[in-house]
Amino acid sequence: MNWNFEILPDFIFNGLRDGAVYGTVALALVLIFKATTLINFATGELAMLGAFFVYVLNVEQGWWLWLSIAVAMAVSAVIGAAVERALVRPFDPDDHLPVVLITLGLFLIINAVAGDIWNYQVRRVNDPFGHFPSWVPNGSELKTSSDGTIACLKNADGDLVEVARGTADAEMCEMVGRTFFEVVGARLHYRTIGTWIGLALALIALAIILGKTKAGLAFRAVSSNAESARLVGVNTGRTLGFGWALASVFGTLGAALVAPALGGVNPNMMLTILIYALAAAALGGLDSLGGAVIGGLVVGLIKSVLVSWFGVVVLGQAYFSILQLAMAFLLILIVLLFRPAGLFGTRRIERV
Amino acid sequence: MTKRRLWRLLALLFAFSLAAAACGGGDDDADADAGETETETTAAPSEDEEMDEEMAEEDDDEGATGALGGAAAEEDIEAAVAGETDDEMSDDEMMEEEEMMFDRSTLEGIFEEAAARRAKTVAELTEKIESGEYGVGDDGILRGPAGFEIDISACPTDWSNTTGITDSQVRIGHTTAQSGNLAAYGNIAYGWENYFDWINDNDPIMVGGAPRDLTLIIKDDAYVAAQTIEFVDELIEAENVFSILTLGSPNTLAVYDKLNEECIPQPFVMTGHPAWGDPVNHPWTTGMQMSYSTESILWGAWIKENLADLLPVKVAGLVMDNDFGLAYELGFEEWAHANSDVVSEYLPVRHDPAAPTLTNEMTTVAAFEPDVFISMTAGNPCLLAIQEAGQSGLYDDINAKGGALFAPSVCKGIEAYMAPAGDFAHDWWIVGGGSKDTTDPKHVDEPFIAFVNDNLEAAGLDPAVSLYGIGYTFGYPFGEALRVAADLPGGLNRTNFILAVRSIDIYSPLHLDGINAQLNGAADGYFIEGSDFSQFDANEQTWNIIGEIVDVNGLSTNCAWDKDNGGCR
Repeated sequence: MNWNFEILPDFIFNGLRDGAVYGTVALALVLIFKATTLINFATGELAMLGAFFVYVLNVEQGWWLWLSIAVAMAVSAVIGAAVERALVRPFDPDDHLPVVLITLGLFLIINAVAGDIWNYQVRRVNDPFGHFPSWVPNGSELKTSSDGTIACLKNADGDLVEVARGTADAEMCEMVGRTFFEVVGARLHYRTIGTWIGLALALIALAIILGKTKAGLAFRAVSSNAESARLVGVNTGRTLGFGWALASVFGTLGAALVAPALGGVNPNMMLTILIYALAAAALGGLDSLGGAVIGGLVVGLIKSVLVSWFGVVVLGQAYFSILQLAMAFLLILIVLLFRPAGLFGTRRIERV
Repeated sequence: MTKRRLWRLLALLFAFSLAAAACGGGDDDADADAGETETETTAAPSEDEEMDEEMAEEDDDEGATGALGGAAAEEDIEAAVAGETDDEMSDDEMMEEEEMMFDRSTLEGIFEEAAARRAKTVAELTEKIESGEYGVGDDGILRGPAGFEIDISACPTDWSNTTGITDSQVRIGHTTAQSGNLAAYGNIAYGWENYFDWINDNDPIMVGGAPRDLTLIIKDDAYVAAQTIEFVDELIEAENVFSILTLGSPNTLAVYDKLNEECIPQPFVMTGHPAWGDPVNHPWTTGMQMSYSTESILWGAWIKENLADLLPVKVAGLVMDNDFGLAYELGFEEWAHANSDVVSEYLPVRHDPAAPTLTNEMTTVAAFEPDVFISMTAGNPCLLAIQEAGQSGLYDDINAKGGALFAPSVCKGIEAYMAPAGDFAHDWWIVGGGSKDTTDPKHVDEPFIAFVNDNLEAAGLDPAVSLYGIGYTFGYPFGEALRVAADLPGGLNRTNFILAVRSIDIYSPLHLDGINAQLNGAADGYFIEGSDFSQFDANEQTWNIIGEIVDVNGLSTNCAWDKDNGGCR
């Protein structure tokens, strides 16, 4: 048995990066669960649609990336609210089956429509955190070629200049051209840090929205007891639409953050991620926002450290490589069997 | 412990056992053999001693399982790579070549050449059929070139030679992946259909003097073999198709026994697994592209020839964990074992075909610090492998050492896989299978590729989608074989079609010059047996061919695939 502790930090960082994405998508699942006590299976596809909006605005239309993400999140919010109004609200909220079927139908329809519009070929997107910030002097591009030269320093005309390896210029060049920091010998990519920051900002925004705004207060009231909320004058329908809109916003954020790591956007980009997010939400508790985030990080770590590092690298068992998804299902099963409310979810108490 | 908890525990154990059975049982033939040996080699950075022990153990195993096969002899391939092949043609061959001189720089010239080659094949086959040497004899045996035989009397009693040919159509079934992780490959079907539409509109296949539309019935199996089995049943029983084309190694392996028992032509399947070169046991099935075994040997031969200063080298592979990836893994492993002076250590790291990211797998590869990295994957993971090689530092490390990174032939599409990877795609090598990518700026002005792209555009399909063009690469030989079969005595039927397929000898305008596109009955079961060695230029977004085209046409040994143990029997 070769423990290979040297590369363990890499796997931890990988797991926490993926986990942050699962956590963000799990937030979207939990928001809708809190509002309607059902799982929206179209969460991933709505998020994928949001990521395509980012692609269209940024890559095709040339908008600034962050503006594209913001606009895509806003458009997704409108779509989320519209879906709730048109396809969910007409049904009896106590009868879950029709709505679950509708979300499954939406899943298939959005995937097929996206495939028809954009095809299944991956489309490259710009990475919001891929390189050292562009405001750093000497630019942010690095090109390495097989002849040993690297190019990144810009001359007076703003062109890239080739420099030899091992020189001071080259060191500077490599520093600004890097896509990572070195931490305990492992590569901590800016993309990973950016994903964490994205998740943290999402959580802060959510805390402010739910804690400090009237709409958030109404959402909490409706998710706690819809009937009582209605009796005290809360417009439950509009509030649930608000919940769907918020969920779509977080889904889009998660998809936009993960897209560069997937090579770009394509209609199937969220299929597997949704399963991990479901495992995260089940683990954290389907009605716990904080639980969704912690669940996401734990699922990411299990997949990366337990399966990929311990199973494949330490134990040397190749078949662990195809166990990653099975582990997510197994986790869902374990949680449902032993702690149906999840780690942080509300335990249902029934009086007899 | 309460009874409820006990039940929960039992349920959990049951779930574990199901998961273990699903994973341990293996979804494929190769797994059974490769699993034990590869589980050890896949353990990340192993020590030299461990590697030697593994190689010794696996050498012992080799006697039991036999060679992988499905490729030309190593020495033939290495001689071809080193440019030591005897290129001299016989007088007869030279005369034939002269007769076949057409202007390949125009579309008309290409079509004229195709027509002339078809006429030649039809004349040769007709002569043999009329003399009783070929065709279905009184004994119910279909005979063809080089000892090719099929016992038609063993076909199902309700089998018909003309199933799928109606008054207006020739119905052809196709299973492919149009959803799921490899959905991009479903685009090949649209390109193929686009070519058939062009044939129907401009130069239709004639049956009994009347034109018949080539109709493609496409089923989306999502690259799931169990779905392929269901859809093939449906295509046979409900759709009454004339012929079936499948995509994917696991999918094709799952149905090729049945299609051969049912006597249904399955030519030019969309996979390069070596198992398709088996004209004796699976006469109705043929491949189109270079076999993965040949490609594996070509990787090795290239390393031996071009990295002489680094030998012996450490090689790592990223392997898609299914029949497709394991064919590569086995092929290269066998070559590496036989050439320990070239490859000192070999680490295949497998990945789940459905994995959304490959960061962990590529971190493992990078930690192994290989001199050569070979991507043995397909679909979106092609792109992820390149991207993660860059992100993990593997790309810089290998380039700094003067080593090489290889993409597999199935990842040649520029717009699909190379362009989205950006600068990290620069200088990657490929044993490209001799095919032309219709999005490669180097080829877009060629007459046939312009014709392909014009047709796609006219149908509202984006020519920038690499895989639409590949639909033509598969559709072209299929169409040529149909035309030959239609002109044989008896017209278009299944036996004439498979005879035409097994005798095919065409100029493929979607392959590089120097690549032969031929089958020869029972003697040669591989259509394409040559390749280019190309290196990607990310600045120009093109594959640059480096060195000579290698072609070992007719030298690959046939392969009766051993489903239980992997490798050829």
